Amino acid sequence: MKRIRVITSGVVMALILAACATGESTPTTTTSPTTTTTAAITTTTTAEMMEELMGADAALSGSASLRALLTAQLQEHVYLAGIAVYNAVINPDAFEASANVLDLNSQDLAASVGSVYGADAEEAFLGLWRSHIGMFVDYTVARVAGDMEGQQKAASDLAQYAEDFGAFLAGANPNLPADAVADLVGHHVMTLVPAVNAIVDGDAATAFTSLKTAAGHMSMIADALAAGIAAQFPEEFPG
Amino acid sequence: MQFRLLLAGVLIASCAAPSGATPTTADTPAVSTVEATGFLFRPAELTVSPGSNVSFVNNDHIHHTVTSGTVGDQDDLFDLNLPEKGAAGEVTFDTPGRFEYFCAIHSHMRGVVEVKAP
Repeated sequence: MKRIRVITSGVVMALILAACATGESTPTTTTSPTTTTTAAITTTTTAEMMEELMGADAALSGSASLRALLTAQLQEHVYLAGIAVYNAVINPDAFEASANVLDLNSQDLAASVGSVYGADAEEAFLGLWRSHIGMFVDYTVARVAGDMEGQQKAASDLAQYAEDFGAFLAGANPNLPADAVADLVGHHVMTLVPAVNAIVDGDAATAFTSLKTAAGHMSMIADALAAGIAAQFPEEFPG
Repeated sequence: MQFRLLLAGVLIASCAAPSGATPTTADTPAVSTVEATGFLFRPAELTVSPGSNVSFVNNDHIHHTVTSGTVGDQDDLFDLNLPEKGAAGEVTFDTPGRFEYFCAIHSHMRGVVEVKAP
């Protein structure tokens, strides 16, 4: 049984503004104090996790700890994105809360990148990462509306995003070839789109199975990133 | 407002200078440089004197633009297309004011040129 609710234009606008979180729109400005406060807590938590995982008594090596952290954050991204899409389509009243937490996960990921490559890289990563979430929002909205052209545009944007993301990481780390990263991110898109489609189409069983597959794929990205970073900074991430 | 776009290197300018543009003078103006690097404009904020040229250089292996205005509110004062690493272009800022710009492809990339009389 399909349970599709057509999103009102107001909800769609809120969805776009909240998920993209560009820091420019009025709604985002209104919620920024809360986001900032929570983000500070989350960033601290990330730092504490790193410290705990990479401490002298930690059972895991530095590189393994990094891989574990990135895997957790990237898989969290997939599930939170799935929840946000689900809420946008099925339970709009809960969408904003889920989108806000999804953005906290984005900030956590950016903080992880920043802990290795510095504040500029953290800022750039966050902007890029948020942009791909916005593209998924565009895709979802188009899917709900039955707008094939809009879906294709969003898919094209996501393909370009994969290339951009590859270029970004390659610029930061010579051990991460742009094409290889782009392929990995492209697979992330390809594994998440079926979940979005199934959510919009009201096929819950396929939706959650697809989400599990998409989350599983993220470990491949985490493995590649952690290996590349460890190769670049072997003293900081031994093992 | 008067802007002059100067073509340099492999720059491909995607729009002409605005109607109020004036010819380049024989005097060599001061040139400041903004780099698009690591998917950010650096420096993100730049202060120059009226008549200064600002050179925008793409240091990323990816296509960027330098588009005047803000995301969703492009003002068409200038629009540089920097399709690849090494691409560069210049804009002459003749009039005091605060001029925002962004990358039309990567909307999180934003910058400001502040033009102030010395």
